[in-house]
Amino acid sequence: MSQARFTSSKYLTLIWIILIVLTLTTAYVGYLELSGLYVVGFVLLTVLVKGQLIIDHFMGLRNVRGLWRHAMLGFVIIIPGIIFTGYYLSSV
Amino acid sequence: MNSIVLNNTTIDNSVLKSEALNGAELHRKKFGIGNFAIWLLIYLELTEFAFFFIVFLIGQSHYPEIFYEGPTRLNTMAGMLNTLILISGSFFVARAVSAIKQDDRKKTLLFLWLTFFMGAAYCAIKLWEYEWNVASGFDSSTNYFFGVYYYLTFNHFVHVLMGMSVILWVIAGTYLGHYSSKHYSTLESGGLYWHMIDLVWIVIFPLLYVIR
Repeated sequence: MSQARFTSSKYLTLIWIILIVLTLTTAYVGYLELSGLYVVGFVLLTVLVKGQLIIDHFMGLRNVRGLWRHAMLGFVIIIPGIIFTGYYLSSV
Repeated sequence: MNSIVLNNTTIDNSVLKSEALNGAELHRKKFGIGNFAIWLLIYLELTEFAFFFIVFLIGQSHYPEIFYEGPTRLNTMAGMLNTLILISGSFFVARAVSAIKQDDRKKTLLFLWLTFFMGAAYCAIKLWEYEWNVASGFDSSTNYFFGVYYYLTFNHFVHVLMGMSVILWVIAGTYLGHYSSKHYSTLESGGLYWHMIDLVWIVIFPLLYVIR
């Protein structure tokens, strides 16, 4: 069986740990009750990174071309983008 | 029989098997994973939640003070725990798909059950959080922020219940021996649905609990 057919458990575990660290970082920002456009931008950037990791590695779309991957990535790029724009417009 | 003869050329069976696997990989790269129905459902669900997020932003632009104060009234610990639980569920279901690709049915079942328990833990924490909110004097009629919070999180809660049902379905299929390294599309599709639930939550968590 080709090794390329499945993602190794060590690799998936590494992605899981990265996702946990990013979540704890976001939660810490919430715990400190920080606010402002830079904070919003930083937190939304973590959403984008977490989304990309889930889509490419947990869903296994990293090597899939075309609509499937782009549409999923679109969700974690466009939605945080719209949210950031909303917060930016309400801050000016 | 370890080989076939084609146009006076003898081809070994292992070569044919390898070529077939490469063909399957090529198909996956070109057309994706899971089945069409699950992708349609996932895109429709994501669109639905995208509209909820836009409703949240409209509310935020109309009532900036309420939405600035809102996240400080919520239980960030409950939100964080549920994020860690859903991420872990996603990890376990990815491990289950990886295990079935190696024909390891025992590991597949273990990781699917772990995913199911992550869903149950999410529901338990969410219900406790709703009680905590009520005890703190906040419900859906408190203000527009809490109205959107309850609408968004309860909708997501229902999706987690649906995801748990899907996981139970593929657990039953695994027990019945329906999946193998060659036939795992249904199990993979169930996993994709679970990942979609996780993806939505990683937007909900910062939007409701963190950013102000």
